[in-house]
Amino acid sequence: MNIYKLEMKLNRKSLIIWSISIFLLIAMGIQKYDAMIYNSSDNGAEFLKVISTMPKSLQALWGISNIDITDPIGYFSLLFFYLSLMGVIYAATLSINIIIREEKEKTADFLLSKPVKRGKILKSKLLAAASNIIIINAFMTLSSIIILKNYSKTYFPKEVFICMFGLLIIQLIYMSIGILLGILFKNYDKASKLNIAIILFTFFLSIIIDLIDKAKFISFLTPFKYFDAKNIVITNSLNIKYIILSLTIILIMIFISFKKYDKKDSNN
Amino acid sequence: MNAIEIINLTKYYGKNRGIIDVSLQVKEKSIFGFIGPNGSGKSTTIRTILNLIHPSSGEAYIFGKNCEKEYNEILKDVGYLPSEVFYYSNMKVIDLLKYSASFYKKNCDDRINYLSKIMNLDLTKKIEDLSFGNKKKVGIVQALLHSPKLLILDEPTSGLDPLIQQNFFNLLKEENKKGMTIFFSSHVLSEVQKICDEVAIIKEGRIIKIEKINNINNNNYKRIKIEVNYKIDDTFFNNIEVTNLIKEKNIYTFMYKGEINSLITKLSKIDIINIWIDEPSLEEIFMHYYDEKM
Repeated sequence: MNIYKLEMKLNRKSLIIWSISIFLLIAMGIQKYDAMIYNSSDNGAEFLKVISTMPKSLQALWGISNIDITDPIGYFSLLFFYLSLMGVIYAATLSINIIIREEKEKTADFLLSKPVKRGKILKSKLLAAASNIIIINAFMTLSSIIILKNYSKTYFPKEVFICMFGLLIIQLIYMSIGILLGILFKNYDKASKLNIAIILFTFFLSIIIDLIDKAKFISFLTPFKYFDAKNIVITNSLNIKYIILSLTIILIMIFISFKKYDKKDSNN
Repeated sequence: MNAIEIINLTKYYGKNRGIIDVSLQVKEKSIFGFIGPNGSGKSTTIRTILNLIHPSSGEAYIFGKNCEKEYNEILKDVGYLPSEVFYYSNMKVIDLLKYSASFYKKNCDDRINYLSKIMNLDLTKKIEDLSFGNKKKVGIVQALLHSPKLLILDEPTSGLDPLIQQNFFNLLKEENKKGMTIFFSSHVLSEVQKICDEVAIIKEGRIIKIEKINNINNNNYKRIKIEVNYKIDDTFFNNIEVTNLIKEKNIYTFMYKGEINSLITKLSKIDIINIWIDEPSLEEIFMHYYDEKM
């Protein structure tokens, strides 16, 4: 419990900064939406025309392909595109840092010379990472619901909840990857870079899949495609196949993490 | 039972040598010195028996428990001061010490106050604002606050001013009297000589000598300096077991190991103006070991 408490304390500042950034993203996004579509004289027709002249690749890059942005739910799926990216970056960097910080700040020897099993240390750190991720996810969900409520004739918390739950699962996948990378690599700089590279790779892969219909069959390679807001809004549920795949990935990563952490040499 | 028992412990970092075949025993309630220059494997040995790193082969026991398998049981009774002290930098000293105490399931508040008073440590400061020496003090209090049965100190005195060093040594002696075993690693030999019962000397990853301090101090070596007013025949020293013979003008300095009487008899045969017989410092003995082995 003491390790968990300290981790929560050490990560509080970054949690607050991320929460503020996410709130600003949502607030600024909705303001644009308000000005250009919701409260505009032509109900967004002008804006849609601009979008339709964009090449499809650009639309995909901005997360606005295949959605009706004038519809609040459509707008939410656009917002979700950006929230996912932020949520994932937060989850991945937080998790890897929770592990490599001990080596960066050279506190590993202090912690590991205390009478506590390595497995328990990792468990506490995992719990702290998951707690922070759940907090940020809940914060995103609440902010989205509150802000969208003011702009939507139809109120749709259920869709938001389902989407956000999907995002939580995606975040936990990146958490498990971040934790494992932090443990696996002796060189924490390399681990951090690889961690970012994985996020970018999977993110752009999801955009490519958006662009090329034929590439759909490789969706399993990028968690960003596991729970697509566009589909969720239509089906009102998460794809069970991908839930199972996600849980499998998370469990495997965490299992290897525990095995490796037990045998890891402290790097002070 | 031995406090520490190390059996053929070997650690390689990839292909790099850490320690090779290190074996030693530390008796309970003793103060054991661990001597060697930087990079000789002192920290590697310590960090291996604390399970911070894992041995390539061999094993170690602390109070009869296996260091790899029962480390969390062992660590309850161990206090450890790393050679370089690093802590969560935005914490206050008192918070760090309380965090440290929280691992031991006992109230250490009185102990923290007592120890920080002796070490002259300000508990309210932030750790990042502390000097190297003050961080070391935090490390010392941190290692002692749960009254461990075994205290492992890796280069404990670097950065401490002499007055605090004296307090620190007194504290160690006092704790030792109450039954604490102390494993003391250092490259400053005089401080080990002052406090330890037994020393092991490590060089390039291998133990080259383990000896009781008394043996080193009393029996063996004498530093002898004689002044003459003529040149002593070179063959004269061939009959005496001298080492490190240095000639400066008419003064001859050497180390002698052996029977004093026979030395005196031999010296009486030459004409001497002046003679000095000293205890060599451990440093000199140590250098002497190194010369011999090289």
